[in-house]
Amino acid sequence: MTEAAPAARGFWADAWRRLRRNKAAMVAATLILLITLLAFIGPSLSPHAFDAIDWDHMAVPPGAPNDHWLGTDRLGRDLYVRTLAGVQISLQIGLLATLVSLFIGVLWGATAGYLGGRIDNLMMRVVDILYSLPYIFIVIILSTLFERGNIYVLFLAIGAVGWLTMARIVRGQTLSIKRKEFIEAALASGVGTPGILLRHIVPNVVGPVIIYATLTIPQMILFESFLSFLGLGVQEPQASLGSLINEGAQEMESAVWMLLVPAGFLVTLLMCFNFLGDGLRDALDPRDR
Amino acid sequence: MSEPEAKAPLLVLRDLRVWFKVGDGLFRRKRDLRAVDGVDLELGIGEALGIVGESGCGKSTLARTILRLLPATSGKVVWLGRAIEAESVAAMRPLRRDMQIIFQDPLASLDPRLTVGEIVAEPLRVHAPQMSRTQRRDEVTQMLQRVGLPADVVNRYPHEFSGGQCQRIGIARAMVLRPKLLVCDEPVSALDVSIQAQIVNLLQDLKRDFGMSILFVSHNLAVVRHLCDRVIVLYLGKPVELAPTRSLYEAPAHPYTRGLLDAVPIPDPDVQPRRLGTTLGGELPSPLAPPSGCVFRTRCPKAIERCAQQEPKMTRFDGLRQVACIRHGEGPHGTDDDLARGGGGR
Ligand code: SF4
Repeated sequence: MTEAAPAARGFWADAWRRLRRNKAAMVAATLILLITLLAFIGPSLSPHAFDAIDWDHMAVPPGAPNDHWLGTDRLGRDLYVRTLAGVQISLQIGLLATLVSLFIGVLWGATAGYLGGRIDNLMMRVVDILYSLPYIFIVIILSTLFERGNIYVLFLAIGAVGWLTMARIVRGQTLSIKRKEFIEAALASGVGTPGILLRHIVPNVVGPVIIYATLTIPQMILFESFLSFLGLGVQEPQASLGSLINEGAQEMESAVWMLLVPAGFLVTLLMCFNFLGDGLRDALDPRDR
Repeated sequence: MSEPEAKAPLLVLRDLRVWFKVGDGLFRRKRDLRAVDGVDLELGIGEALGIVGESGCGKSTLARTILRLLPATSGKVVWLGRAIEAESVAAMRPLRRDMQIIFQDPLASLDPRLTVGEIVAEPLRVHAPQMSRTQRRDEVTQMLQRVGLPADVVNRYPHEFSGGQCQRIGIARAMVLRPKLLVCDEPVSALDVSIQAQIVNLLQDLKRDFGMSILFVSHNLAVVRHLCDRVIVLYLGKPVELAPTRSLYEAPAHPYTRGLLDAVPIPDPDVQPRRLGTTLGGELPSPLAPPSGCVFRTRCPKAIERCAQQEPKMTRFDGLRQVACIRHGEGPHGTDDDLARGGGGR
């Protein structure tokens, strides 16, 4: 420590201070917050519904003298409202799929790492095998098995295959923490297994988990877009960023805004999440740069 | 530093062995690594015993086995008359308040996510749950001050402190329950030399004030000499010599002890640097394939053929001393001359 350390400065306060100093991460976090707010409040500001067809304004570009602020699509549906509805769905899918993979991954990884030995071996071989399966196919099969376009099944399916890396990260962390002397010190003091897990191991794993989760959200959003682009994601008249981009791509030559508007939101979101994730990594794991 | 008196022992080890299975077990047969191989020991109440040897001699394993942080393969660990080597985790818990440990790497022994106050309070939370928050806080600050830290460190985090300060925090955590035994696993070897002396002095003061026994694991013979009443020397998991500190340093009976003493300069004007041509040479043999007979024979300057066949047993001599060497007491430049020389000092 070269600088004078103020009294009572916690690890989290420290991390927060480092994060705040990171301009890119702070701008990204602010943008994510704004886009999220806009996605949930924005649609009610417009007179149009996301699936209402305006027969008088079909495929009008943005900026035309009407109340379709970002233009309309081929069917005369308001692109502003549809895009925000798509952002809503994409964010939800990204978040829920990440939570599912977080839940499975942390439990699986921590259990394997803490128990060790044969159980660890078995559990991690399962992960290896799942890794080697082409998981796009699994998701495609899963999403055709269920009612097409049921986005909740999609959340589960994407999350359920996305937990493998999380499990590996958590296991690795648990293993290295388990060997630290402070765990031995706690054992020598008579702290029981639940106490060791909850008081000593989990708090020390939280950092990398948060970082990885932040970086998983954009992956999940992107993956959902990819599925929707293939026509396996959300179904009409519902919209996600992926399905909007799919529609827009078909009109690319005549009405490029139908592609640019949802694509702009998608790219901004992905970039923001990645910047935030990088910022969190620097803030939570300063030795790891 | 007085010679130990005959008191009821706090801790007795009987033929303690700790073997590890090593090898992946899939393609190769697992082999036994004999980390601790037949240690007999008694530790008196209030006694400070040094456990010395090169790294890999099993001294840390021995310390951890005594605390039941590692399981014993065979033999007995008797704590105040009660065999504890097979006790369950739950049965061990109440005993743990009387046996604590401090570690080699002071920073790694403190949870980076907890404040110093929480770290030192942890043993109290486990063993004195009836204590109120304020009582606990008082105990913690009192002990922190006792080990030489200001009371306001309680709200700070381990990474804000130097190695020596971290070790003081570790000592405060270990002493907060006033244990009967403090195991010190190389507690100063990661610290600067100037800090080492401070920590050793602190341990000495605490021992004087609280009267706990100390098991001091170290490869640093100078530090051990300063603090300990008796010393046991281990080589490849086997005890080779056990003696009161003073006589061990003045007249080492085992060639290995002699080699260790020759290898380190002892900052003490009373002890003339001894050069008997026995500075330790050679490599430590693999503990997976220890030599037959006397395990030390591959590096022993006095080794003879018989050493390969006969395993020397720890043998008492001179009252309080024990040595495991078949040539003990026979040689021309052997231990007897030295004993005669050192005898006057005892
Ligand atoms: S028994 Fe033989 S080899 Fe072992 S220490 Fe004695 S003289 Fe050396």
